[in-house]
Amino acid sequence: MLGKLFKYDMKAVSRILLPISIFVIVYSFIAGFLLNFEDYPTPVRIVAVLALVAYFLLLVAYAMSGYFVIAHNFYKTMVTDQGYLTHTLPVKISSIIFSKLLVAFLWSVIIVIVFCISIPLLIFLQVDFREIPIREMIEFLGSFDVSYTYTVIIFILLMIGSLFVSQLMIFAAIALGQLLQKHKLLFSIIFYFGLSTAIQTIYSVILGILSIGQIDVLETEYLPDVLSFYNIYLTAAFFINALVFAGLFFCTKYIFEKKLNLE
Amino acid sequence: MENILECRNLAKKYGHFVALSDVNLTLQRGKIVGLLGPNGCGKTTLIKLINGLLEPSSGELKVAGNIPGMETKKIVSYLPDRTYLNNWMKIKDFYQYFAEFYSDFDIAKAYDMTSRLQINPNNKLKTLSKGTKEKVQLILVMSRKADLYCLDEPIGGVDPASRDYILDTIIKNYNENGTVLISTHLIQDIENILDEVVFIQSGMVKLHASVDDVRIKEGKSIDALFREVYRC
Repeated sequence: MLGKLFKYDMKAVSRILLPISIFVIVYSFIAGFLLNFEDYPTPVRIVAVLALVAYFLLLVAYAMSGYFVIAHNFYKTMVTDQGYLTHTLPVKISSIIFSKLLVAFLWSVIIVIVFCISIPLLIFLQVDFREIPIREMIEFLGSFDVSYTYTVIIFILLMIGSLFVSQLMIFAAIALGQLLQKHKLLFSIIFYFGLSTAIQTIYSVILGILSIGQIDVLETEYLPDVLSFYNIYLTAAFFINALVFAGLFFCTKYIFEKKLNLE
Repeated sequence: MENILECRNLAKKYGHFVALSDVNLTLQRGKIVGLLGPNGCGKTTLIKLINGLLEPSSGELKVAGNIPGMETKKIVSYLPDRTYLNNWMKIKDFYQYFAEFYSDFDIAKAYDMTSRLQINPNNKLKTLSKGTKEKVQLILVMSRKADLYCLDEPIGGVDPASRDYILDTIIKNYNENGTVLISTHLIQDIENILDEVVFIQSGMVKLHASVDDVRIKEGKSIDALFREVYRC
């Protein structure tokens, strides 16, 4: 069932995000030429600069688009009239939520890939890629007698976890807003900021406590010690993230199982 | 064979508002039952409870011996009184969707009904009129071989000729062990296909009887009795 839910959720979301993604790539290529605007006559220069400003705004919007498109899909299919279809399917609420989280994850990866294509396209006329000192950078990092493996792994896991939590926060806010009789959407937005603040506070407090007494370590700039500190820090953040995820997930699931009230 | 629906002391409150109180109702398999009553009397609340879209405040509701959940959703086919499909999918995409999620969905029957109602399955839902959308939703619901069909105002927005076809479809799709629960105001139109009626008023069941009994005892049609019971 999860596979089927995922398939239809991907269709619903991709029909909006895929055209935008293609547009971003094409625009990046065009913007690559626009960057040489000093070479152009004045009227063209004005258009070129405006087009570049628009392009950067587009990138910012695109980076966040995944969250919003999926949030919109969640809202429509869970709490509006389409909810009558969603909530009468013979599937578990946890599968429905999980399917949309997986779609959010997959599209986040795609958006990152699009950025990895777009930025080089933008700068291809300005930069000779052969001149970037990648090998030297890797050699420099390898010159210390430390292993980066754990740090890299925990960092990636933390990034993935944060992604899931960010999306789930929106779902939980929508679910909480649904508990009110009136102004559900307004309260969802208020709940979102509330949740966001609460979660930030939890992170700040716990990680702040962890950091006490570690300032000297950071000041020594001795890489193995600094890296150990970051490993502890990242591991703690990862566990907090996992707990926040569990809390938000069960809250959302409970509300839709026991407190559903479609108009 | 167990009853398809059993409600015992079922109640539902929204804050202080009592939508249903002390509902005791049993529906047998293989019947077409009319759920009748004025606006706001609790018909839709009862149907939502059956479909697991609401939790009871107190009391018990069971469908084929199970409380509403995944197992009951497999055997209950629900037609709400609103458009619950997204706008961007084509009609044939919805048939595929239902075929994938409901093992009792008969896709051939769905296409057959589509052609009889002269609808093009390649159309996107957003291009259809309200009446045609309602027909598509009805096709989806009646193409399932469910044990309980809950139809909330199935013929409200539909032209009279299509109404006859729809009522005809409801009787024909009537599998022997299946029950159809129709909530409607258009009593005159459906009276002839009903086996039983349930009158609800202010959240309580006022009457549950077979149509024949009503006609013999009261000596009047269901429509006439309704007008009398619910006189303003």
